[in-house]
Amino acid sequence: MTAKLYGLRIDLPGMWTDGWLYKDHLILWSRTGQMHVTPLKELVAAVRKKLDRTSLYAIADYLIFRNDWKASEQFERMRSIPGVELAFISQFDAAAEHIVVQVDGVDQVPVGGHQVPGVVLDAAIYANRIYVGSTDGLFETRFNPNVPHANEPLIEQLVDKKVRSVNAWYSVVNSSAGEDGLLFSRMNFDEVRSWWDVKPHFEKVADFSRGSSFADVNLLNYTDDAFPIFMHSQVKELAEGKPEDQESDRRQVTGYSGTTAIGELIKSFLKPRGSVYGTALFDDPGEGRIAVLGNSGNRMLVNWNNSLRVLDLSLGEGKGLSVRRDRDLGNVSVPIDPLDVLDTYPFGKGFLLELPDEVRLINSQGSFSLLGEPVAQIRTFPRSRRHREVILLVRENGVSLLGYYIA
Amino acid sequence: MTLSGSPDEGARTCHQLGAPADSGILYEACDGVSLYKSMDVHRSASGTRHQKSIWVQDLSRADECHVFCEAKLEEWSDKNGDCWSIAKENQYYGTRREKVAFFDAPNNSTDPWHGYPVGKNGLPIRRWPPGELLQLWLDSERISFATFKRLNREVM
Repeated sequence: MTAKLYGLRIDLPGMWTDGWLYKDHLILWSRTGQMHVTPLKELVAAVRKKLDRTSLYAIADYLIFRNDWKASEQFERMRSIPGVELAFISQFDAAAEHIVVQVDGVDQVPVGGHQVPGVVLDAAIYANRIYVGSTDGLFETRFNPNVPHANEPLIEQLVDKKVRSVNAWYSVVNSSAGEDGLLFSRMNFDEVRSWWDVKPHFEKVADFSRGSSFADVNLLNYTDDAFPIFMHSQVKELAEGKPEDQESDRRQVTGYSGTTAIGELIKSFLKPRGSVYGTALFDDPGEGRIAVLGNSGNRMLVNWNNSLRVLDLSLGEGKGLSVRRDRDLGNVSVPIDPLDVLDTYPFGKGFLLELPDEVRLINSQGSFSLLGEPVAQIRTFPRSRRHREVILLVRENGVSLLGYYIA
Repeated sequence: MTLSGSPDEGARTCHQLGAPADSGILYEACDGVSLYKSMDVHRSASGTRHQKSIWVQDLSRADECHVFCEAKLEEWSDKNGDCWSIAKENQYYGTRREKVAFFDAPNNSTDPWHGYPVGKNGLPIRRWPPGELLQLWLDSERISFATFKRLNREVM
């Protein structure tokens, strides 16, 4: 039987350009670069006022506000009781695609008093540090979930560079600045002075970068080529009793020790055995017939001769890099022209695909359309316990939070 | 693709000059002064050793010139004097989903202009319209905010 996706979508009006869910707060940036903060409990209250029955409160909690409940063993056990899952999905109207809740009147309070210059292109939040990449540079501010509307300064950390992608994890920030390279900086957790007085040191670790993404603790750097470059991380394990404002992973990246080109690895794995074709068929990355479109951890989404494949990349100790077909997604049929894939996002054990007029989820249960319109920005939270399967969508006239259940 | 609905119908007055020659077709452009050459290498993938971006088939060569004309008349240019155009929503200029066209200013004013689609799926040529032009297209509602953001993110 074909799996069906049941969605809940919360729509918030406004002219937004990016957003995050972080430590029980919704953080949004306006199109002028102004940051706004809303405690999630206020959003929960506003949503409940709009729901016409209390059973939907649980739906909203499981699908959007408390994904940790959805992923819990307790919920899994409950679902195994005959009738429980049916009762859960009976809350969804069979005729409608999603339950949609339009929420007005939630205060999105501007904080900081500073507007990020330029056009906001990406944002990353880690250990209460907020990094925003824009057409004008990389900017940093801080967020205290206990005092969410505190006015922290906005500090320009990289000047005169178009920072199109930022990621922050393992106590480092990687900023992709196109022809200005991939810039790496370690976070300083031993601050004795005011944080804004401590200028971080940026090291250029690649000459060109359109974006980067962690594959476990290593990094894939995406350039103009068909395949990203695998960057081997140097890692330090933190001692017990880590500083309280660090995130849960105890590993810290301290640098990158070398790179590996993965193109030949992928081509030799996917090339048909005993193929009569010469290498010329595969040796033209600019044609777009073969390329890595993105990764979700160690899973790579690959355009292989105009069809999509999912491969796993692994780095065995003492064995080097290897590639194999993904066990969960290796056989999922994805009827999408790879040329239509604008961007990909890690999402659970699958991917979100940004298409010209659609947002689509692909995972081991199939391929599902989530929204049938163009979006300006997609944000996922793969490392969040509470929002791991929530999508934040920046739309033409608002922002939506979308959660789902597949049965 | 036609430019009907274009803000200036008078833009559609490219005149072909003679038969195809020198790997292209020459036009007198809308301003009556500029020359525009539709290059064969940007009309078909065959006949060229090096990869080139290709105009979509339903955009005629004359309309290719009209796209250039609109860009010139609207003054969609950068600091180098090159011109740019953006396809309307739900339309593409290039066979690889390119929505932007780039027109290379000739070195001499008597030489013809020529242009081609550019985009993320295209060639590894790092051409991208300047931010000011993207903002102008957004402010004049030529593009949606989603397209504006995507172009700034360089994902289309």
